[in-house]
Amino acid sequence: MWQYLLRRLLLMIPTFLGITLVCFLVLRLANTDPVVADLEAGLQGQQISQEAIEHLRRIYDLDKPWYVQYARLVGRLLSLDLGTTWKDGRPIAEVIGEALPITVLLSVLSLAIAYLIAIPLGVFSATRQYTRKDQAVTVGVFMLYSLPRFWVGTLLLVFLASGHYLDWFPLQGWHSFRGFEEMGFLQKVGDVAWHITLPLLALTFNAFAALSRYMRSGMLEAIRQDYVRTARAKGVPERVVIWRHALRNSLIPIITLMGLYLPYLIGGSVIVETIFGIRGMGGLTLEAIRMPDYPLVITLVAFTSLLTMVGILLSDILYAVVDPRITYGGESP
Amino acid sequence: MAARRAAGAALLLLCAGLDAACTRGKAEEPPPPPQPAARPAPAVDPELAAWRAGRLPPLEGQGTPVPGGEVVVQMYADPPSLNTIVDNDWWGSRITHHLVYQALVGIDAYDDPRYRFQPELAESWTLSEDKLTYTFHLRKDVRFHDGQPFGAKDVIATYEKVLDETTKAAHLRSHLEELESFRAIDEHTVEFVWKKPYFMALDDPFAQVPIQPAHVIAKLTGAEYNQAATNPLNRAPVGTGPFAFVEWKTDQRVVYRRNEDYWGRKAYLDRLVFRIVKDPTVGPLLAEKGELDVVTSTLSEAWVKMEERPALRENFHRSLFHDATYNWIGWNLARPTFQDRRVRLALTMLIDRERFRKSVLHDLVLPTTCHFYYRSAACDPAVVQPPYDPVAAVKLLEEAGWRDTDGDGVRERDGVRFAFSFMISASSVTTERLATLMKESFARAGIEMSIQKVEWAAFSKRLREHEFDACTLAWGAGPRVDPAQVWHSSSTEGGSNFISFSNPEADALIEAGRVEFDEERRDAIFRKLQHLLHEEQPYTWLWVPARRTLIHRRIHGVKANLAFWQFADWWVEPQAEPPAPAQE
Repeated sequence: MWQYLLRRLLLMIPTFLGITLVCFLVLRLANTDPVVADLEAGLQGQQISQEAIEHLRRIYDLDKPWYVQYARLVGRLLSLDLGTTWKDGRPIAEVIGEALPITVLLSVLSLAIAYLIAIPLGVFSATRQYTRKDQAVTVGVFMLYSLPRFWVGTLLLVFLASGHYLDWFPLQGWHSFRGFEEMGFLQKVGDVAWHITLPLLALTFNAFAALSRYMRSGMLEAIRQDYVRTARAKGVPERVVIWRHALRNSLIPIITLMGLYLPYLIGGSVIVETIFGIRGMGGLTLEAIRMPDYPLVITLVAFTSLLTMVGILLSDILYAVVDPRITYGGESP
Repeated sequence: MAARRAAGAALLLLCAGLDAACTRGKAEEPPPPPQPAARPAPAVDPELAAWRAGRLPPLEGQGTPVPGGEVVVQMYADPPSLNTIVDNDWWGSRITHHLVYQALVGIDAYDDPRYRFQPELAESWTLSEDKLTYTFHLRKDVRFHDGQPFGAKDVIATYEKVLDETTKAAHLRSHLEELESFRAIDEHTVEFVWKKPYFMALDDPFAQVPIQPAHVIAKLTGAEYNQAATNPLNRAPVGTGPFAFVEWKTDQRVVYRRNEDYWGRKAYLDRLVFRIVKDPTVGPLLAEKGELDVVTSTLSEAWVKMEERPALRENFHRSLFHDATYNWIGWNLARPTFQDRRVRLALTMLIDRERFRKSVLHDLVLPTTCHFYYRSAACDPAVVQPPYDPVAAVKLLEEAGWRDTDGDGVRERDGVRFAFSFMISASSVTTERLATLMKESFARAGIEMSIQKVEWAAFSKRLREHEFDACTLAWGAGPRVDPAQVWHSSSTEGGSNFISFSNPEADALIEAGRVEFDEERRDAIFRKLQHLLHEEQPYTWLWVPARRTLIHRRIHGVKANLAFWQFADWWVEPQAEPPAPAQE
């Protein structure tokens, strides 16, 4: 097991380099000159002096060959000195530190809720396969799944927050605009909860759709197994058969998915963030790519790809935890 | 991209969007549905009529100003920094210039349409006989917000940073290229010597360069000065203005307080908060809930529909203001097709601009024919746009030799079909609607126009390389503009004369205007230029876009003008509660 882990961890190094290299090359291929974009800020009909451009190129290392630029960017990452953004020259760690907490909070909650809904829903559907109830759930889930997020988000805002219909929730931000700093801890928690209800709804309303389908098919497979038949034959109550015996085995696919959701936790949603005026990772990433802000983009990509790789590894390990038949390493099962 | 950053008040800029304020990061307007051309007749109530028209109540007779209170103003983008010497950002300059920072020279915001200069950090100045040497006598009673006294050393340090080739101040440096030298004569006197006389010398060089404290910036290298990590001013400005910086929370707010130590009349407001709200649909909603006092960006459709929202009508003034900006269609004169004046005039006359203004833009914009601020004396109001007249246009085309001889529905001349492409910026919905209207209208007249949607980066590149047939864009400016940048033949390479307009008479007028220091004579020269441009029709002039603002009724002392808002003159009714924080 440990050997396996070590091998997997070592494999991550070339993968990581490959991902950042491809990302860097794609950025360069985009053919937007960040220096001209930054200096010119569009086109104000003013001429930017060649010296100014050259000077910025030197500051940004853009006068060096591409492999030197890449090596410096990755070198900085590895030494954990993230450097400063090009946009405003602030430390990247600080910029990410501002955006990350709210994004993680939103996506962890959203994911947890999605699992809490998807598991019972999938079991419900599977145990009533092809009945009216199963079909109703299927249709309902697919309908939710096909609703665009920006539309649902805007509707939530207009109907529940604008005051034109109901005035239950705030319009913007993840905490009160005024007086948040002066609040006590519990008050702050309440304030944040009140503010993130709608964004959370917009993030979650269809996130469980795919999960519940995985759950349903996993369950269907499990209840056709011999051990389930045996349990039933022994006279074990149906509830116990389903929720204790079958459920455990049918969880494998969706638990695997949990690892794959790890990068999603820090990715953030540009749409939800924009509609609800929340400054999170989604907006930050989009802004960084637009400029393009090489150091920030590379850092974000490195961060995400690292989490993806860890996530894949984690889901492989989770396999073994959930299913005792799976082991890694030399021992025979 | 719909919108770009703008520079100082007197600077030209371009907007790719049509009906948009010129700022970076402004969201795109959704296409408004067609509206009946006629609007209901205004009610008898003059107050309601003023509200509908977006006229603010006059400043006079609004009671006695009292200090106190807080005002929350919407800002629809988070500026990259609050140091406009390194970041030429529209919002950055709007919320710092003449508020936190001051320049040597101010501009009288209430002097519409002239906007004459007034003393700011310099209490007086003299211009030498040869119009080359400016001597500024600085105020002696000024302190920076951190308590340090202001003097000639700060002016020198600031201009040294601007002229330092290693700082990101290229946008300001370009205005100082003709500067020969500058020096401090004593602690309170500075002298600037120009290589050539220039009528704009006071504008960008002296009214738009924020004077920063030497004790903060003088020791920084250029690279250090650029970066927020090493230059504290980029995130926390320290100036001499009526408001002092308190805090900036990225993507949330920038907060100022009254500068109690201000050398002039102190501001009335205790606090001034700029709240960042990016979604243009959300601004009015927040205002209705009492979370915003000033909505700086409303969609034109929302503006029209606002009359149905009694809460907004009761609590807010509306201000409709037309800036020194205009939208135009440019015909690339390097293309043989557009070299004939009659053809350009015919194209203009084939576009039903009035219908477009009324239906798509809700009649909120103003038609214009002038390169300068439409209210300034440099514009002759007697010059009106050529009418929409397809019949006359077709006649002009025939005269110019464009006839459909082979019966395929497209005119040709000397075997060349009248076909061209119209380049538009990919993200502007309004522009696309205009392009569609043009295409249909031209097709009926036997002209084949294709629409070419291009991303902003590519768009601006092709403009500079003259790689287009026709395009549409907006110019933004302040009360004074140097027309050379757009209209002088020498600006074809390296300037903004993208359509390669070249006319010796125009060049002569421009050159004469640039060295004419008498305003009336200069205005007369520029009016001649306007007549000439109108005659030549190298552009099809479209309209002046509108700035649509909501301002809470508890705020007094508000006047719309080109110089954004004079927050130092605003005051709020003492008995009026600040808008209640959203209920918990």
